[in-house]
Amino acid sequence: MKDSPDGMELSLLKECYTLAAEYEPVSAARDILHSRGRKIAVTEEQAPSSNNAGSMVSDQTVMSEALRGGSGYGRLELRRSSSRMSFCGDREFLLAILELNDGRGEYARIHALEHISAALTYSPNDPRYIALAEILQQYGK
Amino acid sequence: MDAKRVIYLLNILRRETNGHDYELNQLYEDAISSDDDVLRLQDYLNNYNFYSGIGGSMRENGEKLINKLRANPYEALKTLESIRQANEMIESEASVCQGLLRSPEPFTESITVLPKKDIMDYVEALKQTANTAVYLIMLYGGMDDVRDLTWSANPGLQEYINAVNTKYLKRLMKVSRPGYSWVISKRKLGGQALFGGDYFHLSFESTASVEILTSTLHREPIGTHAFLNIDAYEADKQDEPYCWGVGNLLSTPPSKALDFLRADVVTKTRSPFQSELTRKIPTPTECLRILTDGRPFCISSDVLVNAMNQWQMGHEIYLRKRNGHCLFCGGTVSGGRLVCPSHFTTEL
Repeated sequence: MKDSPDGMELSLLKECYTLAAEYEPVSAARDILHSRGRKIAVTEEQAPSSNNAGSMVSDQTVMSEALRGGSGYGRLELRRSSSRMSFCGDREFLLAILELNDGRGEYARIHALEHISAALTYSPNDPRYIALAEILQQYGK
Repeated sequence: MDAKRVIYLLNILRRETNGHDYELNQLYEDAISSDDDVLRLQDYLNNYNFYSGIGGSMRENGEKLINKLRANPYEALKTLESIRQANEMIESEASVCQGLLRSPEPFTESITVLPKKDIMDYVEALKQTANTAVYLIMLYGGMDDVRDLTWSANPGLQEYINAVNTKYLKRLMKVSRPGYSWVISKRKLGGQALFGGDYFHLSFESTASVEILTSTLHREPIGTHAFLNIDAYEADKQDEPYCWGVGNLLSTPPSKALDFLRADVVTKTRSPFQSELTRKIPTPTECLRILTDGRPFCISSDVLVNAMNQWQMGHEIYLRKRNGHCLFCGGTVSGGRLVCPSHFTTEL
């Protein structure tokens, strides 16, 4: 075990004491927490880095792009991103949307229906999945 | 006169006189009882708590010296020197222990002696530290990072110290604090989008730029590290930060986070019921409260935006179905159709 905390660890400790003091109703205990927090000096360099914030991707940032038609991302990128998504209803929903973005013929409808059916097994009450499944089934009749 | 001088003179008097033992003993007792070092040691023994082997030995030694003084007052000067040394040791230990308890870094040294009057304050500070450490671990790391942490119902000071220093703060220091904030904005679907209406868009941006971006907005705190733009909610504003924050959303304040260790905490939301979709989406916190059925929750920005989109888009779907509008483009449809026939082609 290393001897002393590094900058990031100190920053977390300081945040812990500062927040604890904010919520502490007993003034003497609050003073103890304040005194602990004050003893930690955190420099700019020790603050968490945010240089990569713009490239942060989560399942729902991908879904956000997919819902609005993928204009910012591009469909190819959305397809790539879908393969990195965790197996969940939204991944199948995204694949259904991509199928329908590529075409609205019977082939696309059937594939989209397969995906949305799979999405419903993950999340059977999602109103978006239900609506899309209903639409796709309606146009199969 | 200084008690030690009185004892010194009493020793001379006792050597030079015969008899009067009772009176002399009374004078010794008065002198001993008023000695500063004796008073100090008695104060330590009565008003300080002694912990662990070292603390126990210090208390035992102090009690022995007081007893020895009373049993053999004629050797009081010698015993008083030992009492002075014992006092110095207790004072030094108490100072070290108080320093440790006010030190920001976790420590493994034993606490040996503390003033009784301060103990409840230290316990309170330790408990608040444990609560807040658990809160921040859940905020930045999620529930998986606290699953094996436990907290005894009524621990003593030593258990508090050990738990906070060896478990809670150590675990907190391993957490990775995100350097970015999540931002959710309301946007209009259209153009190449499949469904019509509004949706919530999630993005990640540097915390500093989000601070600047939201500095002029009407910020209402939702938890400790997230905010709702109440104007955007009430006026249905588009393309403006709607809610934003760092880490997860928790249904507890930091001061009650330890309760989460024993609670069935929800990390996913259920889908809104059809009956709920007849109303406009509530605020994010209300949305989470409803979709977790009032249970304690620790929810990521991904789960939050997914829940909000289910409600927002579900409500739009409900309205369009009710009013006979196409779910894709909003045009009028008839015959129970959900979308305009033109959105699908018949050829294979």
